[in-house]
Amino acid sequence: MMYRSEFFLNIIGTLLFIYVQISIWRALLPSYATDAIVGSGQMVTFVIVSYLLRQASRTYFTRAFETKINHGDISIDLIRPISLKFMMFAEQLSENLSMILFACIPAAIISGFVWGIELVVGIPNLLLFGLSVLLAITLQFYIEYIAGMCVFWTRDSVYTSQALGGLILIFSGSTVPLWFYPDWLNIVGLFLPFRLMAFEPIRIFMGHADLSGAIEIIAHQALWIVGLYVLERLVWREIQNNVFIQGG
Amino acid sequence: MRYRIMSLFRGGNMDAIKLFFAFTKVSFLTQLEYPARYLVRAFGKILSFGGGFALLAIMLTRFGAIGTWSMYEVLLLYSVNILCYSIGATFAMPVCNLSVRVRNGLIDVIGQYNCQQFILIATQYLSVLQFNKYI
Repeated sequence: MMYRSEFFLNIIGTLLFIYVQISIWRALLPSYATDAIVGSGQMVTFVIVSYLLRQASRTYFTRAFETKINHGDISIDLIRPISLKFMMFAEQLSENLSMILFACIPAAIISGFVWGIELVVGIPNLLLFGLSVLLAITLQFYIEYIAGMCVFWTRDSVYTSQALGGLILIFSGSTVPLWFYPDWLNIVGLFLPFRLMAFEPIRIFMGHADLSGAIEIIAHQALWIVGLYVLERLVWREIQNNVFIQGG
Repeated sequence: MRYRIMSLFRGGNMDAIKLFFAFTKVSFLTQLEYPARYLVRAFGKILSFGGGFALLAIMLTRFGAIGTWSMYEVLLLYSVNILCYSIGATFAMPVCNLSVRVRNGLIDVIGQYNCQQFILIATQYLSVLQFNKYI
């Protein structure tokens, strides 16, 4: 709350972003066939929840790693009595939480009143959605963290983050839901973890996945997190053997 | 040589233009110091903006049109938008960071140089990477 103008501008920016997205979907959906998977009201829900989820899981790990490595600050971080990974996770999570609480939720409430959010699921689905969101955030953090660690070799975060951003944009289904993708692209997406970061948790919220479907999604997320944890440990071990500190 | 450098710091519009191009050249050469790194960064940028393009193509293949706008018109509009943004960002990006400099107290550093401050700011972080988006 240090910069109040920024706080209000964030809310206005969020509202504008949601409005633009809703307007695009409202223009698109009427021209769609009658066997439409979602209606206009459900797309409003999708847009708002997707935006909140994106804000909750956004990270700047690649850039943070680049700055730490190029300035030599990484040497201090490595000797702290706390894991670098958990420190970065906690920092990013607290930043995201303040953004969510003070900008996104007020904007989402206003959007809900203006355009309407359809809540069709019961308490069990909502609880599973909450759990799925937590796993989705962890999943995104792990992916970005591993991509960030590549900066130890490349010394440059720009292309790592942008290439990853491009993949997330296409395969996460947070901007355009995967229902509208061609089959071949959906099949490719099934073998990647990106859809579990946004699209699948939103499906639970919208009631497009029943209880068993929701549990299956959560199990997939947990499996991917375990896999990424193992990968992260392997990459970290390799880095510790070859770390080169500069600056300082 | 000394006379040429000194002449750059004198007042006047012609000197300002010369100074702009001199700083621009230095900025571009610095960024192109490692050609392989530049090319890989270019690939990342193209993939990132190509993602947006692919997403629009997917959406419009499914829906056919947005209102009265056909798929090719929307994709052309997106391309023109990226091109305009990139041209603007090439020159305006350094000025966008001014608020950060003011907050961090680094704006005073600019004032210490014995040359036209605006040109220094405008050329210091001139982004050669934006050229990739032109493609």
